[in-house]
Parts: sequence; C-alpha cells; structure tokens
Amino acid sequence: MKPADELDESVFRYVWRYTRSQQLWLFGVLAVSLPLYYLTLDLPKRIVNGPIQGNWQPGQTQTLFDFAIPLPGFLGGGEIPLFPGMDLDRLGVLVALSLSFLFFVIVNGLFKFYISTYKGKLGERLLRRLRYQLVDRVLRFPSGRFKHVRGSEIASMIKDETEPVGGFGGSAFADPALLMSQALTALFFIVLQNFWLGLVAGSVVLVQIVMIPRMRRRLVVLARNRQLTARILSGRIGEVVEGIASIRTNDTSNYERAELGDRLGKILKIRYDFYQWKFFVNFLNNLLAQMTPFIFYLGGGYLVITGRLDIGQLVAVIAAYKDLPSPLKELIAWDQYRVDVQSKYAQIREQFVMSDLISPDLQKVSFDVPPRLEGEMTVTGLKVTDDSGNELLYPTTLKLVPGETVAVVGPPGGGGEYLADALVRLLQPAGGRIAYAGMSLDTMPDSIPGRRLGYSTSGLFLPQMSVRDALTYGLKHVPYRHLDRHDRAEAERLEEARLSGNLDLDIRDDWIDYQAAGVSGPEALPARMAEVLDLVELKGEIARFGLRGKLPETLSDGIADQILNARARFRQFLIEGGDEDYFESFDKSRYSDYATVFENLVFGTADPDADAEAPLAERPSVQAALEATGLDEKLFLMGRQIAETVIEIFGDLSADNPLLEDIDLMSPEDVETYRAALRRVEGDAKREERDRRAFQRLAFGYVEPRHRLGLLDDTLRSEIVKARDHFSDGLGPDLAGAVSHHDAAAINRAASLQDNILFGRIVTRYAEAPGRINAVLSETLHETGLFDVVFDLGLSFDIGSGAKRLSAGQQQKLTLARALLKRPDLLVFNRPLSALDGETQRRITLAVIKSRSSLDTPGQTILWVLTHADHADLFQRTVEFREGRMQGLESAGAEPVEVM
Amino acid sequence: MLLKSEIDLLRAVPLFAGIEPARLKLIAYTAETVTYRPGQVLCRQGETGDAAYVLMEGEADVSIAAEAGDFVVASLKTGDVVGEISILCDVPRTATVTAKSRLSALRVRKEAFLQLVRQFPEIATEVMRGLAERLTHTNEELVRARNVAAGQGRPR
Repeated sequence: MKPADELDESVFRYVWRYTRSQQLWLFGVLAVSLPLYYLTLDLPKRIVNGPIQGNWQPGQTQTLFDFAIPLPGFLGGGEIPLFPGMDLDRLGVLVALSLSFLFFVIVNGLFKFYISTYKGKLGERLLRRLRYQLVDRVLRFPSGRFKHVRGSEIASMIKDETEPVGGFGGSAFADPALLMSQALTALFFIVLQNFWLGLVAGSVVLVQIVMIPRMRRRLVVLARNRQLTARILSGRIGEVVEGIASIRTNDTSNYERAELGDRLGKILKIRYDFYQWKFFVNFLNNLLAQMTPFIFYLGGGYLVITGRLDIGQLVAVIAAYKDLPSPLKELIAWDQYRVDVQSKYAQIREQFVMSDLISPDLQKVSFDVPPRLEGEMTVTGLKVTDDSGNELLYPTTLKLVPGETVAVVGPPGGGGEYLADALVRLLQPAGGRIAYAGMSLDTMPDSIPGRRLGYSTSGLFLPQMSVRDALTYGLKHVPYRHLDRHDRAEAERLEEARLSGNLDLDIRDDWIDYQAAGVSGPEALPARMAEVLDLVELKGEIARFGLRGKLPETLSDGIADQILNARARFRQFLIEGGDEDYFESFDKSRYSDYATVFENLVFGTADPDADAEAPLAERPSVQAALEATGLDEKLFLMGRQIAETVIEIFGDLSADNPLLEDIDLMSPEDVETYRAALRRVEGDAKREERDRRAFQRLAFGYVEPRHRLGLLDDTLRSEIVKARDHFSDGLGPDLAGAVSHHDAAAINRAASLQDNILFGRIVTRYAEAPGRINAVLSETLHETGLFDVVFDLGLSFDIGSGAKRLSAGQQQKLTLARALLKRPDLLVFNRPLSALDGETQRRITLAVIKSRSSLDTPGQTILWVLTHADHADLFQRTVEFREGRMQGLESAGAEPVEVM
Repeated sequence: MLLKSEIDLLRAVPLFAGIEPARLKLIAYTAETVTYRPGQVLCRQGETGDAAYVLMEGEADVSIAAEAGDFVVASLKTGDVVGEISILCDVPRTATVTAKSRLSALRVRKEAFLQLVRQFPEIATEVMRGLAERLTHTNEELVRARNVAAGQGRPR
C-alpha cells in the first residue's frame, strides 16, 4: 500500500492529499452547471418581457434556438451557423420558453442532486479514511503509550470528533470557489454600474472579510476548550463505569456526581460563552451588511437628486447588491466551519502523531507461515526500567534450550514477570537483547512472535464474544480460507475499501489457522478445542453452559430429533435403573406435583420476566380461562389461604429479619400489601378485582410438596388439568411471548437443553433424587452422542462484556487454553492461574507440561512464572528472581518430570 | 407430609416442646421434608454440614468410623434431632447417619437454623439443653469406658 497514513498538519492539505482527483471532478461539474444556473435566472425575464408583456403584431414570429459559433476576428469574423432555429408565433414562443425553463429547472435540480450526493460521498469516504487511520495508529501505539490514554477518550475522538472533518471534505474546495465566484460577479456588476458605489460596497466587504475572522479567533479558542472538556468528560464517564466497584464500596457516588456536575458546569459555561460570542459576531456581520444599502440610499439618493447619477443605475446597483450578501454570508459561514474543523482536526492529530509509532511494516499482512523458532532462545543483558528510570529488572542473561521447561519463582515484583512480558514484547526493554533462534526479537514482524509464541497472564482482557471465538482468537492472523465472492456487492466492498485506504481483507472469511492448531480443517477443530479445554479443566463447565443455557434461536432438525431421542432414552434409563420414583414426567393428562399451579394450568413454563412486566394473573386469556372453568373463585380462595398462613407465620417479624427471605411465595415487601388486601376481602364484602388477581397470583406459584399447606385435592387437580384445554389451541397474543408449552413430541424453545431432555421435574422429596437424576442425565448424553451438541452450544455461550459472565478462574483458564490451542514454540506464562487454588494450579500445570505429547509439540519450550514456588518440581529447571535480580546460579529442579 | 402434621410432630420433639406454636410453624415452613430409603445416608462423617435434621418418621443409626471398622454409637427414632453440632460449630460431621428404615426428616438449612437460634432465645435454650444432655451421656460413657479399661488392666 502507498504511504497512505500521513496526517498533514493542515486539514486542507490532508483533504487535498486524499481527494485531489474527486475535488477536480467536482470543480468540473460545478463549472458545467453554473451557466445552466444563470440560464434559469435569465429565462423568467425573457418570458415576461417577450411573449407576455412584449409588443406583438398579429402573425409576427420570432426565431428561437438558433445557434452559431462566432469566429474570432483573425479568422475573418462572422459565425458558423449550427442550427438555424425555429420560427414561432407568440403562443409558440411562450410554450417553447416555458418548456425550456422547465427543462433547465429539472436539469439544474439534477445537477444539484448529483453534486450534493457526490460531496456527501466524498466526505463519508474521507471520514472512513480518517477514522481508519486513527484506529490503525491506535493499533500501532507503542506499548508504553497505553498507560497514558483513556479508552473512552480515544473512542470519543475517533467516533465523534472526526465527524465534522468528514463533512468538511466535500465542501473544502468547491464551496468557497462557487461562493467566491458568485460574490465577485455581483461586485463586478456593481462596479460596472457605478465605480464609487462599487468601491463603497467593496470596502464594506473588505472590512467584513478582514474583521470577522479576527473576531472569530476567540471562537476558535472556545471551540478547542469545548472539545477538550467534552473529551475528558467521556473519559471520566468511562472511568465511572469501569470503577463502579470502588464507587459502590466507598459510597463515593455523590462525589462522582459532584465531580461530573462540575465538569458539565464548565462545559456549559464554555458553550454559553461560545454562543454569546458567535451571535455577537453574527450581529456585527449583519450590521455591516445592512450598512451598505444605507450608504446606497443616502449617498446614491444624494447623487441622484443632485443629478450626478441616473435613477436607473441606482436601482440596478441596489438590485445587484441584493445578490451580494447571501454568498458573502455563506462564505463567512464556510470560513467559520473551516476554522472550527481545522481546530478540531489539529486537536485530534496531536494525540495520534508521535515519533515512536510502531512501523507498519512490523504489522504487515503476511500469508506466509512464519519460521519455527527451533534454535536456542537467548536473553542477553536484558534490563527493564519503569517510567522514571528505576530498575525493575537488572541486566539478566539467560538461555532456553528448545523443549525445556523452566519455572520462574520469586515474590511478586521480583523480576520474573518483567522477563516474561519482555519475552513476548509487551515491555520495551531499557537495554539488552532477546533473540530467538538467532533472530533478534526487536526487528521481528508481529507475525513471528504473534504466531510462534504463546502467552497468558491473569487479567487478560477478553472482549464480548462467544467462548468459541475467544478460544480461536489466537489463530486469526489472516483470512486463510477465502470464500470466492464475485458478485457486485463484493466488487463494491473492495472498491470502497480501496477508495478510503482501508485494509481490504474480508472479516467474513475463515480466519482460523487450522494448521497452527494441528488439525486438518473446521470439522476437526471442536475436538481439539475440547482437548485444550479439558487440559485446563474447563470442558465440563463449558458443557454446563450448553446444558443450562437457553436454546439457540435456530436449531437444525437433526439436533431437535437428537434431543427428542435423548428424552426417550433418559426415560428408558430411569426405568432400567429403578429410579422412576425420583422423577415426574410431564403428562398432558396428569397434574405435575412438582410444578407450580400456573405451569400446570397452561401445561408449559412461564418466562420469569413476563410476570414482572405484567402479572400473568391479570392477562385477559388467563382470566377468561379461569372464569370459564370456575377456577376463578377456587384459586382466589386458595391464594387467600396462602396469604393468611404466610402472614400468620411471618407477619410479626420485623421488615429486616433475614428469615423473611424464606417466604418464597411472596417477596418480603409484599407482606404489607397482602395484609391490607386480606383486610379488604374480610367477610364477603365486595371484592376488588385487583385484590382478587393478587391472591390468584399467590396461588399460581404454589407447589404442594414444597409449601405443604395442603391446599390441593384431587378434584382441584383434575379441574386444573381440564382447564389446560383453554390454552392448548395456541396462546393468545397476551401470552405468546410469556408462556411456552410442554409438548412430548416437540422441543420447548424457551427451556434449556437440560429441561428439554428431562421433560419433567425431579422429585426433590427424595434426598438422593437430584444426584441420581444428574448421573442418569450424563449417561444419556454420552449414550446418545448429544454431548457434542451440548459442548457445541457451550462454545456458543456469550462470555459477556469484558468476559464478566465468566468467573476470574474461568477467564484465566480460557486465556491459557487459547495459548495452548495455537501450539507455539515457546509458551510464556505469567502467573496465569492466580485465581485458582494451589491444588488445581498444580494439576493444570502438570497437564500443560504433559500436553506437549498429545498436542504434538515435542520441541515446545515453557517458561512459567509460578504463583506457588513449590510447583517448581514439575519443571526441569528453576530460576529465582528477587528484587529484580536473578538469584545465584540457575538451580536444577529436584527431579525433572518425565515427559512422555 | 403437610405443614400441619409436621407441626404436631415437632410439638412432640423435646427440643421444640417449649416453643410457642407460631414459632413452630416458622420452623416447619422454612424447612423442607426429605425422604430416604433404607441404607441411604443423611450425613457422612468428615463432610461439611449444611443442615440439621429432625426425624419425622422411621429410624436411623449413628455410626463412627474407627480403625476396627464402623461402630454404631446411637440409634435415632422419630422426634430425634441430629446434625446440629456440625452447623453450630462449623466442624465437619462428627458421625455418619444412615437410614435404617424408610425415613422422612425435616431438613433445616444451616442459615435458617442459625437465624432461629439467634432470634429466639427459647430455641437456643432448648438446643443447649439437648447438647448438655448428650454431653452428660457421653461423660457417663467415658467413665464407664475408663472403669472397664482399668478393670482390664489390673489383673496383669
């Protein structure tokens, strides 16, 4: 690619550099459109003066549209006729001229349309280019730079502050040229009419042009302040979001409120100042513009009265002057825009131009397989210092033989972690040199350390994505498998990317480097992922995500059949194992004791959020069913009894008593509401509809074996089962999203995979039941081959923003597995499992060391900064760092663990 | 089993005998009933405990593992309370409790049990009385064991 990342100091030069040819084209189109524009101005006059008001003799005709090329004098003068024209009578001329007017209006409109879309497109491309350049620069910031920048400020600069620059791109050259030509034409016309009046108009314009921009300098300063304060505000808001834990645990929310409020106040003051000044300048500008007609009337009038100027000329001058202010005003507005954009651009540029940006060559797209780092890895005199020059790691010399495993021990901050970070180029050493197989790490393009080294540490940031994407992230260097696309959309995509200087690799291609993972292709990858997840003891947890999580929106028929098959097998296993008592299957014709009354009523499950949105008991189709079956009264009485019992038991506890959490049927806050409702319905006084529904709501949540109030008898059970018919012919619109039916022959989309396989409830009365059912379930999964589906669903689990849906331990396991998956030549781990207990750390460490045979990386070297020094016996060699110095001679491990 | 019958049963349990009916309802409500088949284990020696049990129906054996094998130290019948030591003192289960017949018990979770003891002195006193009785029993056993040991030693 060309050196297409220059950010010129002047926004004009920047725009010109990247849009030169488009700007010239725009000029050309404008030049063509101008005469047409003047024609539309000229034609009305001709229509009025000609056919409408002119003197026409009956039968008189006029020649229209004759066209000839005049010849210059040296060719003998005269002209070459091209079109002799048409002879038309008065009405004909009117029609012809009016039609030409219409024609020019349309053509003119089309030109305008074309020019504005062209300008818009030009601006958008420029915006895309600028944003891309800035993002590109962020990716090339030197590591140390990230200590000083706030992510949200960078985001606000790239997203918001660049926007006016894009808009400016379209009008940077064309607009002033057009406006200037219009203004000059008008001025020229005035001068032609009367020199002195022209001079007056000219000098007022001169004052405007000189003075107004001067007064605007203050506006520029204010605009810059406004931009800076707004940027810092977004930075601070970002910090508030990131730091919410500290705010909540220190009760500093009001401190933050005051601080943010203060910032907003400053911004308001700056903005207010800005507007005041801006409108004052506008006022002056308008005043100056109105001053000229005043001079014309007074001075011109005087000249006319004294007979030195003829009245026709004065009227013409005043008429011409009418055309002057609007382009002039726009020109001044444009200048304001320019100044504003220049200041914004300069502010952005300042943050992104630095001398030590990483060279683009180091991050060049490389489809080549980088060489294996097979030789010795040497660290010579490596020194690391902090920003103020204090030594963090004193000059250290170390050698790693391919295939060896080295433990690094020592207290946190002892120096080992700096060695680890320097090995993967996360730290810029203050001195010394690191070389892999004779190649210096300094000058290696990213493609070598990025693909041949593996790294993990605690607290690596994981963006929001699926487990699968997080795991394969380390394999996505270039699109390895290119999908052939030859349609127009693809051509357009490439063209646009090229026009804006963006990278034209397609994000939709398959970027996964299967070879690096040691598999032949996409089919074999899940097994490999399962393998590395198993090494770090995360496989079971991922499978659980698949089992407990909601089913995906789309499910292939094959999988649905597999699930239904598993449902049948599960039942079969239950019977074979004599565990039927532990489980209660859903049955359309039987009441399910371990499901709630509502679930029994609709024979399905309710979305827990739906009731909070609008109580299910109040929804019309539920009410209709209750009334039709006579359950209305019975469930009301049942709910009332529940309320009485609950209030009898819990009513005299104070509101903050922790035992209230055990009520289960109602929330502690509802106790008072129900107490009041009970009082209202006492006796058989007229019951309020709302209370009725509230009591029914209580009844809906009742599960007899759990709450044991003895409120359900066989009659009521069978009545509830009968009421199911009201819901079985499809749900009303009020329940459509809230309830999903059980169906023995179909999948319940709203339920988890586990619930779909079980299709019933565990009889929790038996202490052993949950354990047994779990065992039978996992047997079913393995027997039916559904485990792969479960694992696949688990891989699709969304880890959440910043991986917050995973525990710290799970995050650490995931990033470690990611490093293993790409099978690098050197694994560098910097206390990667600190969130786990010592025993688990030890097991995983051993598994990782042993994995070199199962993952087929026999020559892999491992350098592991340990949290627990006593795990060093798993390694062949141990190095200790204390206070930045490597201790004594490298000690050999007690007994190297045998590597198969 | 329903709440009402549970409360009637609880009233017969010495630990809860002195507690007013409203409190008994609270205890029963916050607890859950669990059923065991013969041979199934309520709690196992050495494991951490998260609940105490009140036997509602059936019998159970309390056994302690020794070098010579498990030996039964006590038999439990309806109304007996078991498992409270582990949740009161945060120590692992001191013995294994195995259902001897089909057994149903009221399982009081640790948090609820501690809340009850903390909030209602009458329950705390009853728990103390129960523990003290058991201690007395253990002391008597100890004395008896010493005597037996001494008697065995003397002839030599």
